[in-house]
Amino acid sequence: MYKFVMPEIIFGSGSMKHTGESCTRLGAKRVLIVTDEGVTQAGWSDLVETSCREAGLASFLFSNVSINPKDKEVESCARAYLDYECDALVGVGGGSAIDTAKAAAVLATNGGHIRDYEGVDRISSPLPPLVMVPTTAGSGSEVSQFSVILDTDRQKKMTIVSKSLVPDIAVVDPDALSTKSSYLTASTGLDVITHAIESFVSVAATPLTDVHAKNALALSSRYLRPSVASKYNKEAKEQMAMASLHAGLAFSNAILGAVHAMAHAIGGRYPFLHGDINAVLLPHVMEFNLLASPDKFKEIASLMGEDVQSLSPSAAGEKAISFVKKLSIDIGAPLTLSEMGFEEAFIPEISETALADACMITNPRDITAEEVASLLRKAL
Amino acid sequence: MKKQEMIELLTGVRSSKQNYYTELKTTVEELKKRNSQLELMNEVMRSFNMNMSVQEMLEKTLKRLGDIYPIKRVSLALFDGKELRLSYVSPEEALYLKKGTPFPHKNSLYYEVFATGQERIYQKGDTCEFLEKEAFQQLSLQSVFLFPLTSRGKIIGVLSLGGCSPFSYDANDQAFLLHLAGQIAVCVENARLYEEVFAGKQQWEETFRAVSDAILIISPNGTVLSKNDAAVSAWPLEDFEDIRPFIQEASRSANNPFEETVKSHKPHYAELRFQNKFYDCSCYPLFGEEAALHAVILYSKDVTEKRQMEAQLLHSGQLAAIGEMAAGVAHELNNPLTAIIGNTQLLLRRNKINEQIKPLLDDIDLCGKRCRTIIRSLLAFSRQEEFAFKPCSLNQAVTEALSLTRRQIEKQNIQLDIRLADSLPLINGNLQQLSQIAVNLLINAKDALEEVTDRKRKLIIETAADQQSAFLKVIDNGSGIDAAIANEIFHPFFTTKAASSGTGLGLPVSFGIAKSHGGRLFAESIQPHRTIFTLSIPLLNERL
Repeated sequence: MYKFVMPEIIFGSGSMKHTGESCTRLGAKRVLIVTDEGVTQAGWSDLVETSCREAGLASFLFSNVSINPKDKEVESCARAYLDYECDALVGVGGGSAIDTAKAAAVLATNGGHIRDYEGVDRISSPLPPLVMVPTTAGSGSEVSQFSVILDTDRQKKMTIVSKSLVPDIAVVDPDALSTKSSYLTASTGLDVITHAIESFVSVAATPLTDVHAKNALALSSRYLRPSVASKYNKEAKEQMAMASLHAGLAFSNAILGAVHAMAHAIGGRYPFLHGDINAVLLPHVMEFNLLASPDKFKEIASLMGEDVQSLSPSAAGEKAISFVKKLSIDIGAPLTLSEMGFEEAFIPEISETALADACMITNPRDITAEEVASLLRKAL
Repeated sequence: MKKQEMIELLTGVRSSKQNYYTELKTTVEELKKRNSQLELMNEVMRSFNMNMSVQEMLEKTLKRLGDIYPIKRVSLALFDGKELRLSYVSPEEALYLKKGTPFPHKNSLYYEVFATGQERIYQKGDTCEFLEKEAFQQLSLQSVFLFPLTSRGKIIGVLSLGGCSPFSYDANDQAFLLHLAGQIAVCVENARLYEEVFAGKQQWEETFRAVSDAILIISPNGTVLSKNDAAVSAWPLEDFEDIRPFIQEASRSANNPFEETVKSHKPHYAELRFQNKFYDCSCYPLFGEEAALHAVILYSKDVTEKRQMEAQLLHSGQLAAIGEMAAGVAHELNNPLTAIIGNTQLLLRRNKINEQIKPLLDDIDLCGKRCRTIIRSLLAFSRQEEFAFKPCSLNQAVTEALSLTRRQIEKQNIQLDIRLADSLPLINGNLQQLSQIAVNLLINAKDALEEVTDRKRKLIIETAADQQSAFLKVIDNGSGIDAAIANEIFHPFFTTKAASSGTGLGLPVSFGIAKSHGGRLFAESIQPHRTIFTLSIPLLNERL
């Protein structure tokens, strides 16, 4: 028995211009556009504002969002929403802006502190209409039931999971990817691959999620390198946007695994890019999980374009792991935690936190705190 | 939590995206409830103005409350200054304790709420021991809410709301019920104050009505605002009729006390005469806001009888003085007069009388006799002459008087009507004196009718009696007695007749005789053409 949830999706070059109209269709009159400085400078929020104006909407801008969004930012965003008497939220940007918009929506109608909603299914009142416009190909938050917010007091990333967090409309415009730096393209691209692999081997994976996971994996394996290579490779951008969308649909419904559980724990302590942490941890976790479902790992290798026909499942799995390692080297992603500035002393604490993360539940192989710690040590 | 359950939760098999339709339904339900609460509150508030009884108000409250909460019984316990008593219950049959039962100070939930001012909620299964528990069980109440009733910072009682099913409530419900209790407290207090004011008003009105003298409250423009029963008979006024012309008429001979009071804003007194009656009349100003004259209270006491008594007493006093003096004078005159009359008669008996002198002597004789009659009358008046009293009848006195005067009366074409009562009770008196009164009254009536030419001259003489007195009335249709001289007619030497025919002693003498018989003589002149003289003499067995 399983369930699959997803928003309405508008995909295609130039679709961002339809954001305002999408809001109107949801009954909005006054929208709060949640974004960050980088996106504003790239001109994407202007484009969204224009489309809102053209649709006859009053719009207000909240651009005070940082990488790894914090509870305080969510609170001030919710306050802005209420002060401006808005009736819809539009998130424009990467995972940070979209997660902030979702969390602010929770506070706007449910009240309280965002900490109250940490965990699974804690939201009791419906959220305002949510329209999400991703400008990175990575987080998948525009279609997912997740929002990850940093609790600044506890220095911990809170994973909030609820069907209510699934946005109403996702507007995926590959043109937005043209302004991303190659470094950010690499980091978010590795996030897409991590999403695809983790949701594919997740214990909650279903045939419906597998379709998306496989598509995401095949597309990103093929188009991440050219996408990193050039801002102007329109095809690569479009395919990576599609890969990210597939990955988002897959992990939103099949959930993730140990990589994300650990990445969230580290992200609570260090302001690293989420994709970078994933890139470093992914091969180590794949090695650990290989035991749980070698057949699936053989299929992963095959989707990556490796010739594994004649190989045993575990040997094919090793091929997949080396593919990931090679990809990271090729696109210039970090290879160790130490090079990012991670300190070993935090391993026990981070292991404990990671073990309690919601994403850990669907990891295919049972895991203990010691095992998490040893994985972290390997990644140092 | 087991891993599988957690996965189900994560993948959402048992959860869905929250739906605005559900939210809307909840909101609508809440609004409906809130609306009912407001309506209820409104109804309770309205009952302040509509003078609804507390019982009625409770019944309405219960009916409304029942729409919102599973409440089946409402009761009120009120503090009467000494005890907290069960005062109102709705529905009225939902009684366990009798109405009026006081709640003891110990082990009573109601008293606890009253004493502490803290609301208390009883739910079935409450382990506390208290007196009302049995009642709750008998009435099959599963939950009971008790709220203190507070009015002007004072706890005046306890409101109890009971339900037959367990009752879940939140802070909003509790706040609402507390607010409701507050409104009910105001309503109860209002009802109590209203009753107090009403009773006070009623008592005042009864007092006002009980006074047997007329009291009227009159606005400065003359409209009677209020009057007591005695005023209705004394002042024959239509509703909202202006009383000022009546007062004006009644105060012809005195100041108008009403106008004076309106002018000076001070109390004024005057004696008024209205329709043959005398009134002691006092007017008092009644001030409204800012010392403005709001109305005038007119208090009038009927003093007609008192005035008549005073007049008679005054006459008696005057007569006594005159009588003493007259007796002295008469006595002194009696001897020389005897000589004058005797000598004149001696001279007249002589044969050789100068024809020229005879008329002069006759005149002296006549005048001398006339003087003797006057002197006798004076002596009679001053009771110098003692007369024997014995049982007799006024009818007899009338018959004797008529034998003397009938011819003169009939000669004047006067229709004489004699109405003597059969079997008139006897009186103790002197027949000669009483017939003298009758003669005097008949002659006066005859003289009064002398000027009457435009109508049939009528004279009625009648006798009658009641339990105490026998009456003799002489009634004529002459011109009557002018009000201005009404007080004078019993004074000696006062007469309206020509000097030759009247001495001015007839009525004073008659008055004196009546007095010596313990009776009264008085005159009434009823305009036009009806004058009644009445002699009343106490009956034989009544005389003190």
